[in-house]
Amino acid sequence: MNPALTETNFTGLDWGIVAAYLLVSVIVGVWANRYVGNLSDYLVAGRTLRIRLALATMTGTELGLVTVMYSSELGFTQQYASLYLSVIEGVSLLIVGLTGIVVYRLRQAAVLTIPEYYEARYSQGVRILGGVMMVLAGVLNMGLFLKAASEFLTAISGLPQGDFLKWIMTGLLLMVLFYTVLGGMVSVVITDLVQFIILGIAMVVVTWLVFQNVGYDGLAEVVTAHQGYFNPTSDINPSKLGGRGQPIGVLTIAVQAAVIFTAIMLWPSSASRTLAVKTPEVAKQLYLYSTIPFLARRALPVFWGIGAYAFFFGTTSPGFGQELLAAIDANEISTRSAMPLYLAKIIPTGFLGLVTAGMIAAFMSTHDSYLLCWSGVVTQDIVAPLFGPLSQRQRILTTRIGIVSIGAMLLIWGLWYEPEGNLWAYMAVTGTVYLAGVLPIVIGGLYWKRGSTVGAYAALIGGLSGLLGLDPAVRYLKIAVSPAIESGHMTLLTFAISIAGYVLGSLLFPDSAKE
Amino acid sequence: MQFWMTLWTGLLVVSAGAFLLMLLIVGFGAIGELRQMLMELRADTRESAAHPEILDRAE
Repeated sequence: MNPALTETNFTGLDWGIVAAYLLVSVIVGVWANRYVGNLSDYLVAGRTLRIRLALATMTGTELGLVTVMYSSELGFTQQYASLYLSVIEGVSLLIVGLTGIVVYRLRQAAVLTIPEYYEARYSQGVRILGGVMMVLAGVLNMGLFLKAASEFLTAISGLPQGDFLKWIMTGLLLMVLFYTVLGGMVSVVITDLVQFIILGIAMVVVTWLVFQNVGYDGLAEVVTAHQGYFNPTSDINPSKLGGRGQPIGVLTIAVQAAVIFTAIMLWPSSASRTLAVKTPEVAKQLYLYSTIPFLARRALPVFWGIGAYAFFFGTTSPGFGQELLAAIDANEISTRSAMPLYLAKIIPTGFLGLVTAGMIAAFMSTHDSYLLCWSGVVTQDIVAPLFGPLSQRQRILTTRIGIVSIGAMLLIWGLWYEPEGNLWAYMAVTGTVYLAGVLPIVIGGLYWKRGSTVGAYAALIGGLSGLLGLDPAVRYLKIAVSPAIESGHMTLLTFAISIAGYVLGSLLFPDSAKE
Repeated sequence: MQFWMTLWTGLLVVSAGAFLLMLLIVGFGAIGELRQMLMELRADTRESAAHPEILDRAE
């Protein structure tokens, strides 16, 4: 690979800024431990969150470094057309925020986790199976977070990949584990606020610098002179990336609409904020106001990705684009590295440290919430129903063990799995395993009196068919069934199977106690 | 092309502007809310310290 490609403005000063931020973050997280009095404090911060703090922590959690990486990857490979995801997410949030659909009644149910609602509405067995499915999908979904984070860090700082990648992944994870294990949700909320402010400033600074670098004319030339992709309904990606940039098309838009609308309401980490706010009204407000950061969390990194495309394939750096593509084809880097490689060249020393600290903040604020969320489900919805009753002290200890165990699994998974499509496609497929099942169970449970336990089991098991959307399964289906099969077909089929399973199971096998 | 590029430009401008505004409003307001949250949590920790048996009760 040409060394000029990986040249960076990152210096010792930037490393110092990053180290100072990490130290402050860990100290704050550990200090928060003194405010944990009981299980409710540990898992949902005693349900004391008000709207601004809830918004800060929701943004911190959902605006992770992995979001920045997959959005900028889409911006680089699909340019403007990839902004359709922002539109879907923004419209979904507006609908939920204005109507309160699902989230209002879910908060009224006053449960700590979604599987706890399964038991209240259906049975303990549904709770346990639902908990297992949630953790399975969640850990699979998180599997590549570490890899994406370390790709960002190595690309922006100029460190070589390989062993550095593994050490960076391990170090970052250990720091998050340390303060999350100690302080639970209280640590998460306080560090999320610090991280929200730092990553927010970093987002604004980077967006401004990219705009200054590319300019209004350069942004227009992406489509007028450099074959940029702008119409998402077209299933031809005309960009200079050739086959490395996947097309979108109507099927993909339909799949993403189903996945994103469901995830907005019921993705466990978002739902844990719904369950942690003071009242159902605040839950509704939280969704309405979240439209802004959720729009930004996709649109701004897409913009940076478009900036990277303009930089590598524009007239300012002739030849760079071809060298980048050669490095991608040789598996020396991936398309995810284009954005950080670009930022490393245009952001001045000092600011680069601030931006990197901001992105590490994004990484940490997502990981801490996710680890706590999944391990909370392991304790409350799998271990306690199976081996209980447990005291609050035992539950907190089990949750801490769960956090460390899931962290270890993430490290192993992140080291050896390499997705073939783009990062977002992988996350959408793994998320479907959980989302397809939870959608009919929760909506049916809240709004349909005839929803039954058998229907809930059928929906959960149906969600497993979402695994058929992963690359190896799709490759097999293309050979064994039809070459026309795409991952998107399997995702939509999974939603259909779960919904049909729920409705038919409920009609054919109603709950006898409710008859 | 004009329709799409107008839509995308508008979306990017609205996203960036609204995010900056939200950062200011939430950033300042959340610090006061954090203080209130910590005061309420302090009451929980006092109660747990006074009655540690609550934490050992199996549920």
